[in-house]
Amino acid sequence: MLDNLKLSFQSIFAHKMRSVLTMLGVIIGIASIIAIVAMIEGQKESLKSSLVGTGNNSIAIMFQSPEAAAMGGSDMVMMGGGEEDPPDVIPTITDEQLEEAKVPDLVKSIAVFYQNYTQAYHLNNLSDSELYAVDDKYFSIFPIKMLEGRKIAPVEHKNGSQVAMINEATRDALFPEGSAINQVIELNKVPFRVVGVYADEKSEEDNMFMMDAGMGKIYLPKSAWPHLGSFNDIPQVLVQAYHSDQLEEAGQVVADSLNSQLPATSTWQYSIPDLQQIMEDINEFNQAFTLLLGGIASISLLVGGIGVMNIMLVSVTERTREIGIKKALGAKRSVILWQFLTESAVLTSIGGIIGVLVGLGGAKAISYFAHLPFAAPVPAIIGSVVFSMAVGIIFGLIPSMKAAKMKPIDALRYE
Amino acid sequence: MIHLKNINKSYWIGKEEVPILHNINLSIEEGEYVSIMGPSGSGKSTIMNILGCLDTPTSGEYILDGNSVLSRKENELSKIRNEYIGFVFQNFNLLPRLTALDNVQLPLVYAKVNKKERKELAIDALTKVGLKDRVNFKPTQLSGGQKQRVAIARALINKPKFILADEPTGALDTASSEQVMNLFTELNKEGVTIVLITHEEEIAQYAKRSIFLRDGAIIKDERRELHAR
Ligand SMILES: Nc1ncnc2c1ncn2[C@@H]1O[C@H](COP(=O)(O)OP(=O)(O)OP(=O)(O)O)[C@@H](O)[C@H]1O
Ligand SMILES: [Mg+2]
Repeated sequence: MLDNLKLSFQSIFAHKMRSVLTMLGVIIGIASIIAIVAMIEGQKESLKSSLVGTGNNSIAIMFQSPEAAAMGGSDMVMMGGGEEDPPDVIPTITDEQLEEAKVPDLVKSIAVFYQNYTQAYHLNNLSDSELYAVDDKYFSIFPIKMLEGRKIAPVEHKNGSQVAMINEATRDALFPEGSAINQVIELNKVPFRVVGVYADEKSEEDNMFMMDAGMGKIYLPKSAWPHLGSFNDIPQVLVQAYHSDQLEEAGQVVADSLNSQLPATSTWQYSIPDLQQIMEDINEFNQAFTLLLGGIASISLLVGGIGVMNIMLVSVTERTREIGIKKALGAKRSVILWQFLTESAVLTSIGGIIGVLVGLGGAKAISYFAHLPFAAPVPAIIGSVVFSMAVGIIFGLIPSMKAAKMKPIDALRYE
Repeated sequence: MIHLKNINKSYWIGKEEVPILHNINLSIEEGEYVSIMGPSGSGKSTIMNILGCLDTPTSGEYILDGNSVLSRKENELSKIRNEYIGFVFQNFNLLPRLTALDNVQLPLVYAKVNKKERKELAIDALTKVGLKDRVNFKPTQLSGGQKQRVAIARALINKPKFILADEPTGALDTASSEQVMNLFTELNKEGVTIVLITHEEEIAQYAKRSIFLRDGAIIKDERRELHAR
């Protein structure tokens, strides 16, 4: 067997040009599969992490109606229509409740916050801003970097002080000149004092090249939320797990704990987004893509396979005398069969490996220039190499059998 | 050891039957050194192919070492060739991509001898034909005489019952021919049965027995008590 492999490499390298041309179909087929799968995988990864924030192991819990929960719980998936009004009184989540929900070794941190959208004013300047009423724990999940001033102090969180941290975009809109620190801004006509400015997550380059430097964003103490005249808002809950593979478990534990404290009459419940469901939706989309890809790939592999068969037939004919000699010396049919099958399989496997490399390189290049995510699809890589080997064996079968069946006398006489 | 009985061989050219061998009866015993002579086209190679289990006669019986050969399947014939017969061809028939050592080893590969033993035996055989220092040469790097000696080493390696040599000196000059023929004589002295096919009287002189063929029939079968040299 090892000798067969050695011989195969020898005869493949003896005809480099011919071998490469023969492999071309397989290379193109495999390369296109790998490239497309790599792009899909990358897309999947980034979608997943944007949904569940694998970056910091956190998952959002939603308080929602039974229908909404049944639809998978993703706002993205569910676009309005038939949504039930929230209950008249939304129970607030107390610190005790959170402590109880915090299962050791599983739940690292829970942040409860309110979110709204408003226009912030300073003198005649206006900024469209998202409001986040948060507590300290929020920043342990989503750390921020202060540029000026300070963070909201614990005592301000505790007392419901009317203070705010604004992002760069808000600062630029409200305070085109002069410092924002200790200035007062109006949110819903309620005054808040700016204590700090924090950096946008966007990179410096993005801010430099884009006129719209992103959305305004303002953090307030959660305890100050009622001052804004909002009493019955739906709380947002973020659960951070210790391990990314326990994300759903941690989210579920906290949701269950919070649900157990709800009044028995509440139809609205806390639930985690059904990651499975979301993944299924993504997969469904990808399946259509995969089908198309599979079509292209099988055609090119079929053509490649026929090319291999053709060249193997030529090779068998060229080596008729060699076959005759081997048979005269006592080689059985199976020996000859395996020799050519091995050669054919090695040929297409090399093609497959080259195809994988070309495909990965191509996907990498595309993802680099188009700023798309990229992930090396390990199962697809292994599958491709195995598959190309199978192509070699299948299409090498007929030529190899032809070789094995040659009569020694005819093979020896061949000129 | 070798018994051909009433062997006939015909080829079909289209629908026409062309008889080549006519009623050949031939027995060769162990240790003999036989030459088969005859003009070109008389059927020498055809007999050799039948003896070598490479081809089958149209009718007749071939008993090798007490066993009938003709009913055997292809794989069994491969085994018989591997165990009983060593081939030496006019055009050497070495595999061009393999070294002398690997060429000589081939029959042992098919006999499933392990690698180490294979190599030792092959080096012994090459030493015997005087090519110890050409072990790693490829056929293209060897002279005609050297190639034929590699082929003889290959024919010997399985300790066959007999060696079939079809015009072994056909492509060689006088000196190389002499060397090869002396090798055969030496082997025969060691007890190896040799069947030598040639159309050259001078080469046939090396054998102890000469069979003459004409138009596919044996016309003379003579033994020499004292053979040349
Ligand atoms: N495959 C074949 N089909 C038809 N006729 C064949 C075939 N092989 C050999 N013959 C014929 O059989 C006859 C004997 O051939 P063979 O090769 O045995 O001769 P030979 O005695 O070895 O001659 P040479 O000394 O030239 O090698 C020739 O007339 C040849 O034309
Ligand atoms: Mg001949």
